[in-house]
Amino acid sequence: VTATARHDDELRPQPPGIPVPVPSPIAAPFWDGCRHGELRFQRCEGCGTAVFNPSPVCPACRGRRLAWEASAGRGRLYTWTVVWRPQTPAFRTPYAPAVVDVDEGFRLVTAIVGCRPGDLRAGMALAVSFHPAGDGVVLPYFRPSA
Amino acid sequence: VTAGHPWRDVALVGVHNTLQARRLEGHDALSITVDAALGALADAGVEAAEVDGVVGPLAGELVAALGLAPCARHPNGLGIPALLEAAALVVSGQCSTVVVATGAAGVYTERRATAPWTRPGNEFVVGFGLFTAAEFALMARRHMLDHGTTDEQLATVAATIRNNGHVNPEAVYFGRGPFTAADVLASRPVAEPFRLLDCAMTSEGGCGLVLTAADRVGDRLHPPVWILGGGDDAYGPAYQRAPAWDLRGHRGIDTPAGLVGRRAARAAFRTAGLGPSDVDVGELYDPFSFEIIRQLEAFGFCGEGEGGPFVMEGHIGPDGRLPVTTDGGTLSFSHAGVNTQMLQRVVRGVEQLRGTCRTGQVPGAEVALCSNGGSGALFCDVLLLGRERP
Repeated sequence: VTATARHDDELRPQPPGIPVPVPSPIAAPFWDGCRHGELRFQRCEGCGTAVFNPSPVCPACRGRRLAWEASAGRGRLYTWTVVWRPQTPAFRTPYAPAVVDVDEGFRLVTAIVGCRPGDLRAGMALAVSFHPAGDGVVLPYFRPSA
Repeated sequence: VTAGHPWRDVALVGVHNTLQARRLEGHDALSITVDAALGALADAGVEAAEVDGVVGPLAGELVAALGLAPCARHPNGLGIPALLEAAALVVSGQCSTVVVATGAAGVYTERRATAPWTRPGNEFVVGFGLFTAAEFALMARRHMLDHGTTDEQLATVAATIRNNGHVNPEAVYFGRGPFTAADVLASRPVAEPFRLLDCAMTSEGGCGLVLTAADRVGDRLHPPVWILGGGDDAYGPAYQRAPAWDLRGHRGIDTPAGLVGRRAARAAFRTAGLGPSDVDVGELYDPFSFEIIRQLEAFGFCGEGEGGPFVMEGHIGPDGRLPVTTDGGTLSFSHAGVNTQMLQRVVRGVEQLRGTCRTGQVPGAEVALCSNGGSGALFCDVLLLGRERP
């Protein structure tokens, strides 16, 4: 916890230097999408279920044919935390890891930016916001939207 | 209960906690695991030469270090499932005497970061700074939204368990209290709603357990303790996916991930022929204060959303209906590595049923429920222990 961290600080994307994801082969289209400003997910060609994390099989019908689609990048805040004791000193506090329900019917872990910790409310409308994290990786944060 | 009980032919005859400390100078994982194994064998009055099975992360190393060959070795299990694996080696006739031993030392050296076993490297969480406290906080927040669970209820859990450790001379945080809920609420924030005193400590240490075939129980220093039932549940790998309360699988109509452990508890109670009201002591796994409130609901000690009020009514305290985590748990007793701290709930359950706890002994305890894991990690295991052979 830095001496200046306060509850009215705006939540911002992390500066370079944090541990960055090492994309797995199956998730490569997702990370490629982030670099191109697109939030991608899989949809089962058999039953239509939206699937995330990326998977070789549909958990709803066990279908093996899944196609990548682009989300409109809008969703709602399901749950969140505000972190004041960072995982490593590379992370600037406060930051707000969250679970977001994306409109197309999948859910992902992200962090909220562009508001203060005290502004966070369950169900608030959010939009994806891409920010480079270093090593050529772009992270999909979410920020409040109208 | 019935002649066909699956665990009636195996008994827990030895348990041991090594010295636990924030840092055990001069120890590494193998040396503290050897201490754990030899301590448990001494407690059981079993010669090392009788051991024909070892379970634990360094099982192969122990076979060599203690000269046990030829010997079964199972290195993969974690916590209660590892204990049940050891019991299965005995009841299936593969082994007659099995040691479960584990320990951690010398692994947490970068103190500016959280402990290495709490920092997931998975691609979908690593960039967002998640660690164990944040993962469990995401679950706790959802319960607070849905049921009105309060910071004060969480703090009351933390104070209760920390005070169990405060009076326990074997606890790493012996004498560090007593704590009130207000003290917990005044501690610095870590990952909201958790404050420092809502969270497990980090420490080093080991523990061991010895299981034998029932016909080898004989006359020992301590009476045997019996496995009445057990089970384990998971909703996915830990720390890779969104820890969402309402995550469900095909069979989870009434059991979302927020109630992980409910199916395991029901299976354990069914095998035992018992219910929640038969449990005298709950050695519940306590990585974070909220997890106790959640487990009380998941295991059926109270209704959904009633865990907070259950705690405020004093039921989990030393004189309550269900004393919980009586040695101080990971909040105050010890939290070493990933395996030791889980098996220590079983060690304490055995001590409670023997009646040998130096502090926090529940008078006349006949049945103990031990648990591992939790909602933020998407898994939860349950073990029912008893004084009477099933």
